[in-house]
Amino acid sequence: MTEDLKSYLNKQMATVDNLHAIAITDRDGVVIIKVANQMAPDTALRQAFLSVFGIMTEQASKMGMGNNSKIINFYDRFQTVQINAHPLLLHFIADRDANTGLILELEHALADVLQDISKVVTMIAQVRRQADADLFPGDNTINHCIRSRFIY
Amino acid sequence: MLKPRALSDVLSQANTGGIGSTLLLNSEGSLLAFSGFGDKDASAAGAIASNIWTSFQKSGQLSLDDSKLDCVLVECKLGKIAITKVANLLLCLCSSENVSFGMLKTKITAMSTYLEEPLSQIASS
Amino acid sequence: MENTLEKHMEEAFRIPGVTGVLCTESSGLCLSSKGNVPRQCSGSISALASQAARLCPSQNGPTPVICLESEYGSVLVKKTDNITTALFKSS
Repeated sequence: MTEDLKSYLNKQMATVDNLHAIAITDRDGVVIIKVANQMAPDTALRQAFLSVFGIMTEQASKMGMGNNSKIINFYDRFQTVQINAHPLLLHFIADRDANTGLILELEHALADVLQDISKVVTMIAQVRRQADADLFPGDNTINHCIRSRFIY
Repeated sequence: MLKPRALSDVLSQANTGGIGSTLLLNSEGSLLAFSGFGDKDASAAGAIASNIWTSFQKSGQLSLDDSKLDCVLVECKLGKIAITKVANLLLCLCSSENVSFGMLKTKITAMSTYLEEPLSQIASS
Repeated sequence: MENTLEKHMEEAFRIPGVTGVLCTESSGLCLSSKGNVPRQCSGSISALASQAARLCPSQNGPTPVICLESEYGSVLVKKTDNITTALFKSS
């Protein structure tokens, strides 16, 4: 399953010149799946970098303009296109001169993939919550709230 | 010296075709100059915009081979925002959701090129 | 700021048979569009123009005009300086 998904992502990545990496993470920036070529800086695919968008998309939702859906950053050598596909985050890392419009169009090509992964992620969260409830029957809501912050 | 009136006149030139307000912020995110319609809380949005800029600038420096941040485009359900650096200040354009990213980016680039020289003079004096 | 562009696009849109006009900037982001234009097509339009320019290179000369034809209509694409323009026509 993962290999199929990776080859699909690689195929999509190849449709845009100078697109170096695609990553799908949870909202804390933990990588669920990623594909990258050798041009992508290693550090850009770690949680430390990817989690920044998770925090910023939450902040940007408080600007009085409704929920944030995407943030595009242009750096002097790279550009990042990051999309909030609740409960997942979609990250693209590309060269500065890559076609940003084409990268944005990829979001539609990846819509099915995102939907499948988010189903799995929500399912795992439910199973975990159930397991928690079984393990700690007396668990009160406060604990539950704290825990659900980490598990969706 | 800086003429505040002239500055907001320049900023107001961007406010056409769906762009609601133009903000100039200092590096701490406080509002320096503003031009726009409506009195939506510009200073709060400005503070968040400056925070977004600073965070991405730092993370880019650390994780993207010491890359320098040039421009940020933010899309929300009800509007879009563009942020860029001019001299040591931040320029921020807020628009409605039906303004396209290309227009927003082109406008903010034009505006920052125009303001770069006069604002650098103030910054250095 | 964008008055001139809007005026030219309006003019092109008024030509009989034209159903939509779209302009993109150099990174494939939509500048402005009028009429009936497919959603999020600006990236493809500008990619098309740069691919075509690679196929028929001309030093300092005019860039090629691309014409896509289908049974429903045609699309004309041309890149000038940093702007790519697309005209959508119905047949």
